[in-house]
Amino acid sequence: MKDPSATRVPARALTQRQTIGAFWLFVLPFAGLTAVFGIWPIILSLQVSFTESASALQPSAQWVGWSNYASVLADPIFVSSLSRTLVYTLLAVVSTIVLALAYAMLLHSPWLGRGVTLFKIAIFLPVVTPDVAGYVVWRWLFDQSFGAVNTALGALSMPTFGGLASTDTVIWAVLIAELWHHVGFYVVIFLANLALCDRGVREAAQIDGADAWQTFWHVTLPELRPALLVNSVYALIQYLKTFTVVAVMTKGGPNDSTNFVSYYAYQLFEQGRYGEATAMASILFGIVIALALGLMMIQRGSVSR
Amino acid sequence: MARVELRGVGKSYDGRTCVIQNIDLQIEDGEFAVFVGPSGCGKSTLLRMIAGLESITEGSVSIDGNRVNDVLPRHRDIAMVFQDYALYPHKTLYENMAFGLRLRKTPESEIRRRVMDVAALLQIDTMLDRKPAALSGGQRQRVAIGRAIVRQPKVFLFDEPLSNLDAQLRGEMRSEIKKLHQRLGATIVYVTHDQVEAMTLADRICVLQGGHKLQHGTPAQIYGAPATRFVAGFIGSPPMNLVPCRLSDGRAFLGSLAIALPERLARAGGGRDRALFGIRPENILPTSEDSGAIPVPATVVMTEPLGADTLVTLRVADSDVVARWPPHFSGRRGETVCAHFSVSHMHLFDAESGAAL
Repeated sequence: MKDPSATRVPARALTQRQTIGAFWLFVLPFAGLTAVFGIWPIILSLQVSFTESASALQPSAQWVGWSNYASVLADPIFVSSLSRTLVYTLLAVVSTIVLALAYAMLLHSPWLGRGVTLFKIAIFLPVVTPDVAGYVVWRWLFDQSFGAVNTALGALSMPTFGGLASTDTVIWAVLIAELWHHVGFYVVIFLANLALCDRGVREAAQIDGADAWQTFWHVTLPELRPALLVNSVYALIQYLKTFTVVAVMTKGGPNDSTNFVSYYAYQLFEQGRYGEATAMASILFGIVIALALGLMMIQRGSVSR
Repeated sequence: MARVELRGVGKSYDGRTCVIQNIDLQIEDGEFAVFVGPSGCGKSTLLRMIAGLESITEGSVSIDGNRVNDVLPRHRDIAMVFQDYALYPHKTLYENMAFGLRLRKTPESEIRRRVMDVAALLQIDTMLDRKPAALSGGQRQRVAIGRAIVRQPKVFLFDEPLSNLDAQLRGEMRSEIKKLHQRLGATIVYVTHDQVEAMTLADRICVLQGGHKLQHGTPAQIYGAPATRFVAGFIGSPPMNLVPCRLSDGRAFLGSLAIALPERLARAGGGRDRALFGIRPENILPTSEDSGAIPVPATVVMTEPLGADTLVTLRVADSDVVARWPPHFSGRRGETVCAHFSVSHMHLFDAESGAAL
């Protein structure tokens, strides 16, 4: 029988050059896609924001410096839109995190027994539903004439819900539709973190004397900091850019009460005011980056303490 | 401190899978009780039932005379040390130890006094501002023990606390735990799969297998008078030699070799023609120093010098037995020797059930 060691070739470690080459070989395709479809549009958008709207899309666009930004910041509609966006974002982020956490805790508990699969499907199905289709259905549900929401409320002898027709209730209607669509995603993140939590630590807390709320507050919640950070930042970015739900359900109304920054910028695009529209988008971009980074620094600071 | 009583305690899952069966046990006030057995025998489940972390399907558990089946863990006045320490990762050592006292609204000054005293006792007082991730395994285990001690509970529960430590540290911590028990006089229920820990720490040992209690007694009783072949083989290192034999006329036949049994065993084995003959390694002597010992011809199979002793594997009739002989023994493989079986230390076990006769 042939001695296998006679044909054995000694393993050769990759040289540093080969290692770097392999790294770039794998990274370049995806880096290229990110650069072309991610970073390049941002750079172009920034460029357009410094040009005059009439010539913005032409090769010889006229440079106007900061005047588009000045115009946007002096626009009272933009200012009210921005404050509206920030208030809505705060409301939506808090609601999303609280609901997603509560639902994840429920799924993680033994209370649902074998029904847990049904509950998981129920919360995640809206996430994978096309958002436009979902929001169209919600528009119908909130319709004042034939919507199911008011029909059900009427059957229970409860006051009707103004839905999309009233400036007092439209924010809540939009929020309900958004929560329906998005919460499932955040539940998955929380569930993944909960799965990593040490059951023994919770049991130690029970033996130390903690009731369910104390165990959650003092033990579980601190262990969920990674998921809270990820979800908070992601929700912040998502809701600051709210667009689709407004475009489908309210068109910014009634009376501009849902005219968030993204939708207002879109309206300016439709009017051909490209310079101001991209300036508005850039301001929003800057706010998103600043708030997201700030949130990450606060959360990481509290973890290190 | 308190007494713990288990009456007919049983546990099953989904009404079918039975993991604990009908266990009766009494742990006296201040006793160091050890549950020992192989993995999967139910010892941790039994401990968790005492703690209230597992429900009790049958029977009752009482602490200090009070039935606690339906009492939540936080109301049982017990403290537990977990195998993987279960320290709060985001809290400092001080906060880990103070947490239970804070929940009970203990005054801050009292919390500080207790934590500092226990930390000094366990030699962790210089690291109270650190978090668990910055500590070694042994230090974390001390913190876990300290967290239990500051609570001054009625009963301490230890769930294989030394399993994750290396051999040297395990030995050191074993001594620490023994000293703590002597100092505190606490009622301790300790779970381990290590029979050395069980023998060295326990006032009484409960040997479990397959959810059943096989024997409950002092280390000397468990070692000297094992109730079943499993206990005989599990406790002691090396384990007891167990050899199938035929019984006839008050003698045990190991192959063609006849060994006269002491009267108590001859009587106990009456009516049976088969049994298991048992003798511990240290009761197979190299010389006839014990006047009651029976000489048995044997052939040396293997020697394992341990330093303080030498383990000698001997071929006796058709079976191999292990003897613990002095370190100067230098027999060669194949050499014929005369071993001496101590009559007063022979055991017989039923061939079918394994029960001691």
